[in-house]
Order: sequence, then C-alpha cells, then structure tokens
Amino acid sequence: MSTGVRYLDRSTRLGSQIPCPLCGGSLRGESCIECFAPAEVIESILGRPTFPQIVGILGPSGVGKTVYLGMLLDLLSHGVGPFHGMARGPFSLALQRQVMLALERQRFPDKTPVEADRWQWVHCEVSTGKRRGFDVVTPDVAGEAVASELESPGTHTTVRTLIERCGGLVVLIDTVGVIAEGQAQEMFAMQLISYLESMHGQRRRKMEIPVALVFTKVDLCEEPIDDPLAFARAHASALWRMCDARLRHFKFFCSSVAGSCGRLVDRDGSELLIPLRVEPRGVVEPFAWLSGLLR
Amino acid sequence: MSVQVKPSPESTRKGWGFRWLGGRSTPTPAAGPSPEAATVGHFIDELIADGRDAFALLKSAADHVTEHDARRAWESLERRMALIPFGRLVVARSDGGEELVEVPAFYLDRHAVSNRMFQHFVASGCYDCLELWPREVWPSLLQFTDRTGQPGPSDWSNGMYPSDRANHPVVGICWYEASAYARWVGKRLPTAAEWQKAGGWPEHLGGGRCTRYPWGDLFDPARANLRSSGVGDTVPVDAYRNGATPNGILQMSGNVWEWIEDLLDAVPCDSGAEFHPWKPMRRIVGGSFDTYLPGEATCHFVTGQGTLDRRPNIGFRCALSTDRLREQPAH
Repeated sequence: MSTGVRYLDRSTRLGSQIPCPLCGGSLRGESCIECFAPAEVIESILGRPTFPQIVGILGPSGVGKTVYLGMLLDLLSHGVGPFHGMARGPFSLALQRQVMLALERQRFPDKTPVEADRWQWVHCEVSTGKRRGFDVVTPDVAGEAVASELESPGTHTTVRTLIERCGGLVVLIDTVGVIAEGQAQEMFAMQLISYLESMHGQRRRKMEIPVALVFTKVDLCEEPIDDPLAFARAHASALWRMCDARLRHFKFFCSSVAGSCGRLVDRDGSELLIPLRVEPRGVVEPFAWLSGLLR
Repeated sequence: MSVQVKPSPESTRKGWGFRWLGGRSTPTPAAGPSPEAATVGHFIDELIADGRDAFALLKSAADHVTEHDARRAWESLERRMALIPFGRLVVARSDGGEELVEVPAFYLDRHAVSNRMFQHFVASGCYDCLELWPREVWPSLLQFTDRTGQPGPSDWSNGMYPSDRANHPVVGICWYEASAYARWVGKRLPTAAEWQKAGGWPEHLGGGRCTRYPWGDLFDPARANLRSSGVGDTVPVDAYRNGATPNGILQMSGNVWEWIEDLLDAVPCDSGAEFHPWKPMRRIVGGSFDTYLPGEATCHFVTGQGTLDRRPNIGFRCALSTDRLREQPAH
C-alpha cells in the first residue's frame, strides 16, 4: 500500500500550491485557506491510492463528541471484533492520546475550541475481516461551529465541507438532555438531517447516506439501552419521523464511555463532570454499522 | 443456639415476617427449624448447606453449639473464607495524601457470591424478610425483581438464575441486596481498607504498601477477566486460579466489580475541590469483565455506583471480623 507522504518534509507545501482534496481550496502554509484542514491531513489524504471515506461525527456542544471519537480510535487501535484501525500520522494520535490521558486521570478532555484551525483531525486506516479496508478521515468539530453553520450556512467552511463530502454521518444526542431539557437535542439532530438533505437530497428519493443516531452518556440514564429505537420513538418522535421519511439507512444506538460519573465542585463553586471509570459501551457499534454501508 | 420466630406486623407480601432472620421459603407459622433439623446438629447442617456457617461460630452461640459441630462449621468456613491477619497499610486520602490505617484480622470469602449461593437467599424468601433490610430501602424492595417480576437479581427469571450460570457471580443486585445477603449469612461487606489489604497483599502483612494486583504490580491479562482478556462476559467464580492471592482468594481483580461497605463520598482530587455524587453511591472495587483500563482493576482504585443500581457487572463477596467468632479448636 502506498505511503508516499512525507510528513516531516515541509518543502512541498511551501514550494507549490497544493489543491485541498477536501474542499478544492489551496494549501498555504500549515492549512487549507478555505476549510482549515491541516497540511498533514491534506498530504495524508493525497498520499493514499483512493480518496478516503469522510465520516462526520457531529452533535451539539457538550454531547461528548471528543470523548466518543477518542474512545473509538483507542478501541480500533487495539482491535475490536473484525475492525482494526491504524493512525495515518502523528496528528491522528493526538486526539486519542488527549482523550485517553484525561480518562486515565478520571477527567474528561478539555472542550474543543471553536476556531476551526485549532481542531484536531484524524486519518485512520481501518481494516476489516471481510472486505477491503478503508480509510476514515474526520475532524473533532466544536459543537458551537456546527450550530453556527446550521443557523447560517456558509459561516463555517470546515463543517460545510465535512457534511458535503461525508460518506456517512454519526449524530450524537445527549440522552439526559432528551429526557430532562426539552427539545434542544432533538431539534439539533433534525437540523443536521435537514442540512444533510440540502446537500445530498434528491427530489422524491430518500437520501442514501447512512446516518447513525447515537444517544450518548447512557451511564447517566440507562433507559434507552434495551431498545434505542423505542426510546427515540417515545422521546424524540419528530426526529424519528424525519429519519424515517428522509433517510434510506438510519439506525439508533446508545453509547457511553464512563461506567459512572460524578461532579467535582471547586472553591469557586464551578462544577466539573468527571468519569469515575472507563467502561465503553456502544462505541464501536455505530461505526461498524456505518462501515458496512460506506461506498 | 437461639432460634426465634418473629411475627412481623408490617408484612404485606407472602410470608412477611414469620421467619427467623432469613427463614425458609415455605415456613409454617409456628416453625423454627424443620422437624428434621430439630437438633442443633441438623440445624448446623442446614446452616452449612446454605453457606451460613458463620452463625454456628459466633461467640454468642458458643453455649449452644458443641465442639464437634463447631469443628465442622470451622472446616466449612475455612474452605470458603481466607484469614487476613491484623496489620497496617497505607491508604490514599481524598486530598491526594496518604495515611496509615490499622486493619483488624478478618475473614474474606475466597470467591464472589455465586448465583447458586444467592439462590438460597432468594428461595428462603429473604426479599420478604424486612428484618434483613434497612428501613430506608423498604419502599424500593418491590422493585428488586428479576425479568419476570419475581424477587431476585435483574438477570434472573422466575426466581431462578440462568441455567448455565450457577457458578457465575451473582450480578444485577444493588448494594442493599448484597448487604442483606451478607447479613443473612452472618457476615458483612468488606471495607475498602480490608479489600486493599486482602487484594494487595502487603509485603510484610503487618504493614507496608500493597501491590497493585493480587499477584504483584505488573498487570497480566492471563490472570484476570478484564476487557483485555477478550472474554467479554462473566466467568465462574473459581476461574483464573493463577490470579489468586497467596492465601487463596480468587478474582479480587476482574470478572465483576464488587460492592463494599464504604460510601463513595470523595474521590482523590485537588484540595479545595469536593466530590458530589448524583445520588447516594457506594464504592465498588476490583474491576470487571468490561473494565477497559487495567489500572482501574487495582485494589487502590476509587470508583463507585449508585446504591440502588443493579448493574450486570457488579457482584460482591462477604467478610467476617474474627473478634465475633469463638475460639478455633486446636487442629
């Protein structure tokens, strides 16, 4: 397999204009001037024989995207079932490292910055037992940026590019938010589906792009675990109806990374949610389902 | 031995009350021990069969149990439990510091309580025996049911464990159920310090630092059923003999987390920060088949679970203070 990427050689990117394979923009300096994809990611993609699959892992702020993605990478790197993941460069390990070091200290990682040029990206080569392997590329997107793009399309190029180029989407939904905090979580997911449709939809046909809808943090509320679809129909019925009407391939899942959580309150009275241990549940399942449908 | 039959006016479910502490499932109102067990010897047999041999060895029962019967009970107890002698050990404080604590001698079950053993508790109608349960949990008792609505662990059906899991640790029980069982067998749940001492096996037993795992400080995936072992489920309570403590206590690391007596009211953190659980929590120790980080399966790791939660990866084992027991006869 080709590995023609010179991660440590800056001469190429400094000496010529490289088109960004994600958005068609140009690589200048350390990132694409349009979508802010880092040079390492662009070169990593260009070094592959085929264009990788782009998988978007999106959701509102605080839903657990960074933890989900970091845990998924760690699970894949150790091998789980038929899946085995291999980072395509040191940049792909940064997120995994950040998440796992935090979890080992019984803390969640820091919040992802809003600025796209500070996001961490992942390019992972995934092998499976059954068929040819595939690559996955995804950034760790800030929830605020996604919300901003959904509200005002065009404000966050990276989010737009990601959704435009994605072959599959993982939409994370905070379980506690669904139960306790009204419709915000459901509406966010619906906005995402609607946005996806604006890019990929075809008149009178359901979208082909598979969408995994994942209720996160089920360690705090185990109600959806036995039957996530039934939970969705009961507690997020508008979202479920929308998925049923617009998507050919969708499935509801549940996941959690912490076996149990608590809160720390510091001297100033500010609260910090902490994981009391690491017990990943339902992290690989949505990815495994998606991978069977990626084209 | 004193055996009392106490009618209970609070009884609302079948057989409320007419039971001695954890009496039989089919009691007759006037029954003490069954006619077959009318003699103390037969009653000792019943206690041993139910795993309740500790009752025959209590100092308070010494006048009623013969040396011969006591010897039989001691043999049974020592098959099931291991002695951890008095000693001092270093435990972590919630502010990150350490302190030296003394742990009096105690016995600890060699195995986690299995489904088969817990069946004695269920079949004896102990979910209906209010004397076994603290008053604060009475409103929740009717929710401690199995898949079919019968009293019992959450993964059982019709009051019975899954047929292929007799020797697997009982799971799907909350802290109160574990505590009630311990009381029924005349024991109690171990404390965190006791667990650390028994599982960490301080090098001089009289004191010192504990090893991280029962076999030493280096994790070995072949010695414990954690996620890295690839099993992905519980195994029988007597599996992984190569992970036993030197005095023969199995699975203090791996297979299932185990409820212990201590509240989880603090976790190690920077001074000034306070831990606030979402709900009352008790500590659990040892790690389970789905524990991802081996470091969480050490005897030092601090974590917990809601006191009423009934999880598929939490079981328990019992402890017994030696100072409650009569003198052991010379071998």
